[in-house]
Amino acid sequence: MEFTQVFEPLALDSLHDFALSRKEDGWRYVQTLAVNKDDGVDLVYSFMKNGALVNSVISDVPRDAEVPSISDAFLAAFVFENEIHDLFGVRITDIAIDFEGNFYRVSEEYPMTIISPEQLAAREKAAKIAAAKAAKERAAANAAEASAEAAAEAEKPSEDEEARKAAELEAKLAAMDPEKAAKVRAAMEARAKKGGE
Amino acid sequence: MGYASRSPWVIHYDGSSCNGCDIEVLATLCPGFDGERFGVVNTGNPKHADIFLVTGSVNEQNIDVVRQIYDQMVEPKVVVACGICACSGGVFHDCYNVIGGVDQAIPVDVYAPGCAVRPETLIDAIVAGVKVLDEKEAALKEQKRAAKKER
Amino acid sequence: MGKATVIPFGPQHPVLPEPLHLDLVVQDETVIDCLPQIGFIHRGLEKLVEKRDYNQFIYVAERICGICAMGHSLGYAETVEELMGVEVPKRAEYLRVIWHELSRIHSHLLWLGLAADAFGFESLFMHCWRLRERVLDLFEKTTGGRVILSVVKVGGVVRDIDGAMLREIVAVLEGLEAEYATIVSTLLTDASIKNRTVGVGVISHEEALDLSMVGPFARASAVNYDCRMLGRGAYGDLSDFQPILDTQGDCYARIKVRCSEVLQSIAIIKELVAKIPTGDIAVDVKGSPADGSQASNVLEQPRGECYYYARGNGSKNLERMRMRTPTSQNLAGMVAALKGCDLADVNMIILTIDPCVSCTER
Repeated sequence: MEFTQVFEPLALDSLHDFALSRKEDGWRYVQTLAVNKDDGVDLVYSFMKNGALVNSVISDVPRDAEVPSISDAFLAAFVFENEIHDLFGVRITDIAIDFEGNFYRVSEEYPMTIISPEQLAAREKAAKIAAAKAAKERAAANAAEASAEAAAEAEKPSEDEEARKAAELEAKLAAMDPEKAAKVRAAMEARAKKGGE
Repeated sequence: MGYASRSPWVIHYDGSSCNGCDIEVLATLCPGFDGERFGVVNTGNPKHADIFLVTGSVNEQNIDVVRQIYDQMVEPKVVVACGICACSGGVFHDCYNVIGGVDQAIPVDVYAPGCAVRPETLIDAIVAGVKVLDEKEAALKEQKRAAKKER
Repeated sequence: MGKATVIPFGPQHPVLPEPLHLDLVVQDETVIDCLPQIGFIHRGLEKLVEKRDYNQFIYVAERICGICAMGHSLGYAETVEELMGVEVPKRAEYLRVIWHELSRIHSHLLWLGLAADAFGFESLFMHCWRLRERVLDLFEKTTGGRVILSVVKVGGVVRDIDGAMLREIVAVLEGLEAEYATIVSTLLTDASIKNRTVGVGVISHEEALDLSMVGPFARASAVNYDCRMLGRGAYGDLSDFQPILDTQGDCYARIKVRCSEVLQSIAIIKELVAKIPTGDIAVDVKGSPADGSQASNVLEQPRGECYYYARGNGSKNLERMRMRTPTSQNLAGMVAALKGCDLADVNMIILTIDPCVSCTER
């Protein structure tokens, strides 16, 4: 038995029929999960058969959509469907064992849908990094086209200098006893990190 | 030493602990550390217990359960917060469903930190708890005597 | 027939090691329905991925559950490695599996003890936990921790185990094997234990498949599935791996399966110690998971298959991390096993399922 995993799209309308056909074909129900998005959720349903793990992703389910329960086909799903209702506020209809919002008693309603300041900051940072990377690539492409030779010449010395210094240090470290060398390396890494921030 | 402190009976409740501290509480009373040789006995009945060992932090759903167990215990009683989650919330302190340490719900007498709390720390904590138990017992007796005199 | 009455069971209950609440609908002495209620340990740690970066989160992941701690850190690390396309050195894979199998032995011994306690066999409980202490001593010697190990990191492991220590692990396990044999023969041949467990809480093979059950609970009903047979990581280098199965599907079969799994884990560790390659124990992991990338993973925990899912958003923090733990998958099976049982058997049936509530609720 070999393990494989795939992610494939699924439409919300066909979810229930899809679950029934999975049941018919002898697949094992693995799990259901939700991922919070700005205006809705992604739902991931996983099934497994002979080592093949298939994750069916329903993208961008609107918050007010009604999602049919698959717990009539796979009873084990009732746990996750109640959980998704309580934490993400997704309306799932006809759950076999329906707790009607009392599965978890939490202090705030639908806690997983709240976008925390940390998450927002992380997203902004990621967007900035992506933008900077794109800009850099663009600039590099432009430079290469315009004056490839000159730019390369200008860049080279400083790079060479750094590489030479690093090589010298490596040689020195190799001569030291390993424990001390490891300490020096750790200190250098810490410094580099500090400088980077 | 008072009569309770010679053989303190403990009750254990798992707040929202990860089980790590719970199994260490049990391990403390099992062979290996053998807390029972000091007369420490685990009981499931709050009315029988002198020391309340709480693991894990409190949340919306279990805060009442912790309070109810504490209220059912008879005086004098001692609460030991076992593990860093019970002390302050620990690694989960900024989770959305964690209120904080056990001291948010009931008064705590001994804090035993650690993740997970080590059996050695727990034995120390119970010994410290026994001292508090004796003090509380003496204070109770004093109160009774004073009340008798007034009458 | 008497009137149906609802009996609340838990969360604080002498036979329950963990806060689990059940509403048992009872008619005379028979349980006719059961409604599990959870949420006492819900912390909401899946949302913590927003506050901790993917390297820090491994310490949160292993604190999902103190019994399955090693498995959770391993499963989380494997998922993030899959997400970022990191190749882990062979030696690290072997070390991970050695620790993981050790923690399976510790978990099963813990469980055997609790099961013995549930039918009032307290000395057997003590003996199981005495043996378990030796495994914990091995953990302490190799990692410094007793239950929370913190040895796995994204890209490998934090510590190596040297040759002398590996030989000591094998020696300790060999000593444990002999004493374990007497415990198992007591457990499996004692008439009073058989009286309490044979034919109790039966789940048929068809039911087990229908309820998508996992782990020893399913294998006791002859469901031939164990994530280790997928041959991932060091498991792929084992000469042979066959899941341990039983056909009866009752409490006794579940005890039998777990008893044999301890011996299987010892054999796996012995084989891996003999085969372990030399080399690095970790690779440097740099960068962040790409925006919108997703990965899933399954891992055999002591209690069964655990599913992990991660999605990146281009930053150091993951967009979403999700664990579907074996116990939450088995809740449907637990309800089915409890229906129709005697009230006095409830604790026995719950224990043989080996529920891990803090895993379930996270």
